[in-house]
Amino acid sequence: MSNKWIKTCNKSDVSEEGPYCFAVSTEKNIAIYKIDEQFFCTDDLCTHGNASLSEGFQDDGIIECPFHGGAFNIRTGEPTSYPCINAIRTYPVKIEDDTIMVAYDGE
Amino acid sequence: MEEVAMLATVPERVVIVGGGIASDACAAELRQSGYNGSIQMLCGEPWRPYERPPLSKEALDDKGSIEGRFFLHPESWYDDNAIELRLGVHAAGLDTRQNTVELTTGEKIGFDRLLLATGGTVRKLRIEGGEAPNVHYLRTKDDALSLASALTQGSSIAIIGMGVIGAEIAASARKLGCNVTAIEPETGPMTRALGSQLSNWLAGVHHKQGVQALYGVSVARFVMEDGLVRAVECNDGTLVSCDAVCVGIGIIPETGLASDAGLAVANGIVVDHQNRTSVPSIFSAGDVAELPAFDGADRVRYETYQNAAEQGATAARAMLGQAADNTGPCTFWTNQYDLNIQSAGKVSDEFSIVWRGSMGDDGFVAFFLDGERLVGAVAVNRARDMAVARKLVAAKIDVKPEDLASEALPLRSLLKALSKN
Repeated sequence: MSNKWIKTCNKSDVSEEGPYCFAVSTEKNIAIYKIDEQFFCTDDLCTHGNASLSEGFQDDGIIECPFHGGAFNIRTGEPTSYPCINAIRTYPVKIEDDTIMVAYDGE
Repeated sequence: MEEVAMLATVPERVVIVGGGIASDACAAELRQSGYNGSIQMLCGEPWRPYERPPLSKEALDDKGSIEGRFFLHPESWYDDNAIELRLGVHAAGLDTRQNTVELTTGEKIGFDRLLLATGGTVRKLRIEGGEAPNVHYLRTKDDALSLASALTQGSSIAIIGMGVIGAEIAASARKLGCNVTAIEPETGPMTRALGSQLSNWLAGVHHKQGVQALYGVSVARFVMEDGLVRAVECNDGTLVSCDAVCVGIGIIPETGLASDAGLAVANGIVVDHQNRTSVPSIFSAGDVAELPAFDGADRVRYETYQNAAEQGATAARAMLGQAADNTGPCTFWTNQYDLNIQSAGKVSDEFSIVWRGSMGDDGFVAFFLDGERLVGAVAVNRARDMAVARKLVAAKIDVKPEDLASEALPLRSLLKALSKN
């Protein structure tokens, strides 16, 4: 594993109400989620259209894309609703002190 | 004695006429729902189903960006799901006794269930010069490529019709540095979709972005030279000189196949809340289908992405005898300049508006109320609020205007209160 743990945000930055958007580079954002006191991370860009999932509606472990109503399972990245058919990439998450660390390999 | 095909209780052959979103969603949902029989999709265009929303946006102002995102699915997806794409074929006739579709080539294809998702064709200006090579219409990928080549920096573009398509083309053309003049008989852009207050606001946005707009006037004639339109003369005498004309005055639903076969057709192919036509083996979805309105009071035909996707999926479940219902609120979105505008439900001047934020802000939501009942919402640059607003509209609830207006009160709390009841 060439995973590199990167520091993202604090636990308190993320709400169960909706994901937190974190820029890992000038061109790429990731979305960080809180579900039942656990944290998860996916790509922020929807696999279907040019939409930011962190602008979407989060409920019951599902993130709904704000543009076309497609949706993903936050824990697994599997698409759950048309028109999304490709899984969204997920990243391992760990907590150090109150900081959320994401295994992001720079790709 | 003529043999009449019986309605198969367990369908084994599904044929889909049309190659757009509704068709694609139907095929996807059939497989999701466990259907193992054959699926044939008859696509009129020579390529697999693609996204139409970018045609008036990225396809025009950022041509290079579009290729990878253009198609709904990679080709392999259709193979993996055993969906047989028949590209560039056209249905000529429908036999509702034998349950066959006849192609223009004479080939007959039998079906147990049929989806008519034939969409529409652009409405053309019936005036002299309406077919000139520098008059553009926008419906297909080819239309977009042709229009894109006309939108060069410094060129003068006359846009006829400021509905959603016209307004999006105006925004793209300004981004490309074209001189844009819009001609619209109504009092502003997108009046039918947004109501007059939001239309007036959007007119201000386009004005600020440099669109010259002539509202309340219509086209009288084209001034032609060497077979090209050189100017548009309006009915108030104004002359708009131009290098190219873009016409966005709506579509005509493709109902011919259905009406020739004796299916009930009104302003579209008539379907019930499960997308069933008047013939039990035949379903219809998308732009062409006329369905019971959200509130059940009338029948409507929607021309939106979400409508096509949901109806296609509903038809698929209904084909298989599974629970299906298409009576949710219609939603749409449009992107113009740096604005993302989303709408759900009924939006009209007959309702009162409650504002969350105001039209002077970067983002705001307009809620439309019929008395106390929330019937619709329009959000500008407030995608996350809109996700909640859509669900509130779908719930058909009475609301307190002050709850909607108060930014201090998260919209989600209204949704939570709802689920407790």
